[in-house]
Amino acid sequence: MRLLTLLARTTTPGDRVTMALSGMAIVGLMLSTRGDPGQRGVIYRDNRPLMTLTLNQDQKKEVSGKLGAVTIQVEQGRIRLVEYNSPRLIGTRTGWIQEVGQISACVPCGILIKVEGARPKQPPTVEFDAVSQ
Amino acid sequence: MNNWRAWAGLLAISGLCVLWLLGSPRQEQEATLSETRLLMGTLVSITTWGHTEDESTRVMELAFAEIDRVEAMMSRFLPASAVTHLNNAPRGEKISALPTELLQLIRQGLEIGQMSKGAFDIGLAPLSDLWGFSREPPPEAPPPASDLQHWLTLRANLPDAAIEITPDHQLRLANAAVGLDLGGIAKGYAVDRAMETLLANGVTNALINAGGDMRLAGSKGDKPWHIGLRDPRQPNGVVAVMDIHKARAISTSGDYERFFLANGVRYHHILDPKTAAPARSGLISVTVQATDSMTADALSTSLFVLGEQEGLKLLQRFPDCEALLIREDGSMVQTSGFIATRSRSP
Repeated sequence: MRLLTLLARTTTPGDRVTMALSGMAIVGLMLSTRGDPGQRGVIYRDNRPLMTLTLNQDQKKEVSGKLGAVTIQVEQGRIRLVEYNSPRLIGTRTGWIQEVGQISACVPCGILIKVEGARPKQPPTVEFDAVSQ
Repeated sequence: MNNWRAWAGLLAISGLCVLWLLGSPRQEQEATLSETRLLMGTLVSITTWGHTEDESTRVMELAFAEIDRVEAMMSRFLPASAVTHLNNAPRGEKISALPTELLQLIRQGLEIGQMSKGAFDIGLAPLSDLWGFSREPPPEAPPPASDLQHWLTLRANLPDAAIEITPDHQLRLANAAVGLDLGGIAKGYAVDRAMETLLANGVTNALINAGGDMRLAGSKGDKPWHIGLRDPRQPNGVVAVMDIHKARAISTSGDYERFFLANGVRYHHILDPKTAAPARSGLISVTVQATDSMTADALSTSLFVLGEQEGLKLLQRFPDCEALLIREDGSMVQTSGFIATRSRSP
């Protein structure tokens, strides 16, 4: 309250309009440069798009992989691959993904999930460009 | 209106905006673009730096198509490939009309095989099938000893030219012990072809990563490509960091990528043709840096099978190739020119 009183005493209406407009401009600028997280999971089979699932709606879908059915689950803005009964379970171990650009795959099934949408202005923190293994 | 205050406020706000934009990672984010596909039985990623999205996307598409083309020709798991055609042919029969490119790669594979005294062998498809590491589901026990012995006996009867390329460019596989498996060389070759496609189309800063086998060109502006080397016993750990800002290829062969444990013994997919069993050379991981991915790919396998002493001798015959070896006890040895900024024992 004191700050507001001080502001009212020390500024003219024109000052206050200028400050309000500038504040709005700053917020707008921040929103436009920071972007938002991914909105959809695109399911590929053999590198061809099979279906797209929005991440704002919890759901489970079954898709046909090379070795049988593969379940894809969406929950709380995230998506994951619930692999078919593969002993390696590499895709399942990847767990939930939600940031644009993140990938989960079951290689033997030929199924790949990518989170797609507006590219984040704040790139996810990645320790390495790649890992040799 | 208090003009000085309004102007000071606007100046401060403008300053904040400039700081925000400078601090924003937008520029780098826009510069680094990446695309991943499922190819050659693994995840293949292409990352570019400093190119427009349209340009990058267009050229990456060409590079992926090139990998696809090589795989369609050289995979032994695709029914219509030239390699499958060869492997299905009766042994002893000459096969003609093979792609020149395939014959050239086979020649290179045979040459490295000779230099490695047979440690690197592109003719191990029948043995690989016995072990079944490429099967789904993967194996849980070794094949019967009698099957392995049978293969060793057949192999003992092979002539020197088990895989023979005749002067008129025909190819002959000598007997049932031999069949083409270009897994140790074709992935690297495909990565090379893809990189050449990128470079020929003006993409000069790029990283291609095919399941850990990679080739790099250029850099990320003033930053190098930042590559980790996987810890062989900790799937999410790294034992070395390679900061690379020049054309280089990296390939790693380890006993942890495809393996199973049976009665406390680790059986992995890198087979030693002399024993018909997974190589036991005292090494658990070999990383090779070379100028091209095909050589790095073939040498990492060769050194893994040969072991430290013989492997490093072989390496000396390949100019501009360097290696980092991890022994069974976790200790590491690397050649003097190996690029690694930090490393520790696993």
